[in-house]
Amino acid sequence: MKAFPEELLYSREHMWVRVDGDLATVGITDYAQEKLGEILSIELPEADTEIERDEPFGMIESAKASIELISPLSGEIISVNEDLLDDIGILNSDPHDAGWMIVVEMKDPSELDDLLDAQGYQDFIIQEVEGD
Amino acid sequence: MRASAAENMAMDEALFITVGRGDSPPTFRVYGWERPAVSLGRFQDAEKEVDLSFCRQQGIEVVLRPTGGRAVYHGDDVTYALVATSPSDLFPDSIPETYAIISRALAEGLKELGVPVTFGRRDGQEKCYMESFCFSRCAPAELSIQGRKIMGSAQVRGRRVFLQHGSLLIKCDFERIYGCFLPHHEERQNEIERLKSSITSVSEYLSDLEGFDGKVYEAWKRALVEELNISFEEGNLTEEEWSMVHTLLREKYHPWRERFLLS
Repeated sequence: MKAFPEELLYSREHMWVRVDGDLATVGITDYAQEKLGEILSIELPEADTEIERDEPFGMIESAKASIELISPLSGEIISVNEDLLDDIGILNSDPHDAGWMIVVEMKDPSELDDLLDAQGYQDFIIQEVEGD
Repeated sequence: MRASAAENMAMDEALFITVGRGDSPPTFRVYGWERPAVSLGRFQDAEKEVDLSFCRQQGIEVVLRPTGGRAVYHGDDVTYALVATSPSDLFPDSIPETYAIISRALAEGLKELGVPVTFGRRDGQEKCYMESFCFSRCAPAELSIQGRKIMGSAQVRGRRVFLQHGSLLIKCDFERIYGCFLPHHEERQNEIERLKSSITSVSEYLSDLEGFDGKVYEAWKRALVEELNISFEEGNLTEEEWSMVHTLLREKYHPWRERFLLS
């Protein structure tokens, strides 16, 4: 059963955001990891990299395909989860907590207004991804 | 159309970018390789998985694909690339379904030409060997004949866009294929025999391969028209697409090639 933690915000590119002041932690959703199947590898940028909303910032390889990670917001990366390089399975087993990918210092917090809450993300999945 | 390995991958990636931006329509292209090449999945490690010394000696170009998956030897093959938006009316937001839609059409095209392919997962497969090599195993929605793989594909997905490309084997030089990939095993001849039992090629089913590149291109187009209920407009890359190709060659594919030619 997929998890949609209430305290997170979600993008239409299946990324979650956890906000703490000016900082945002980002990862892929439980829905995404389930659709991807076993995740085999990840490419993430280094800290101090600038990222832009709606632009790719990394890539995941699953058994099925390679998928670009689309950033839900703009800012500077201040931390990258190095644990993922040692244990990529975390992305499948715990995508919302231990599977966090990057921490970003947001350039424009108003971009958060365009993200979905948990119910909105579930509705998006039902209506736009899985059909009516 | 035949081009270098670097040019082929730059063209596929350029289309992935321009279709994703909405600057190009969904595009299907079929191409060849001006000399033998090994294309690596994006996440593979060339030094660990490819015998670069052997490739240099043999004049085999090595290139990194924009897609994942494992390595492919392009000796005598026909390669397709399809770039389109997803989700869309044609392609749902589903990797397996996209693979299935495209593979189904390509299979129909091949069957029309007398190549009796099916979708394939090989049952009862022996212990995996040649782990680096794409054709040593067969995933769902890939094409095989009686359990032997004949075409492998790989996909990359971006924001509302995907690129899927794949290689159809026309002939196989098994000794050369074996030589390209690491690790090499002590029982070389046994491994080559296993390779022969795992993969097949068009040449085993058609004796007349004259103009096959053109025939399969036309058959695949017909099949995609029928499968997707679309029409095609023939053309060459646009000025914008060529500009992106040259940027990618300059910034990515040529530097990568230089790095491995010099190592």
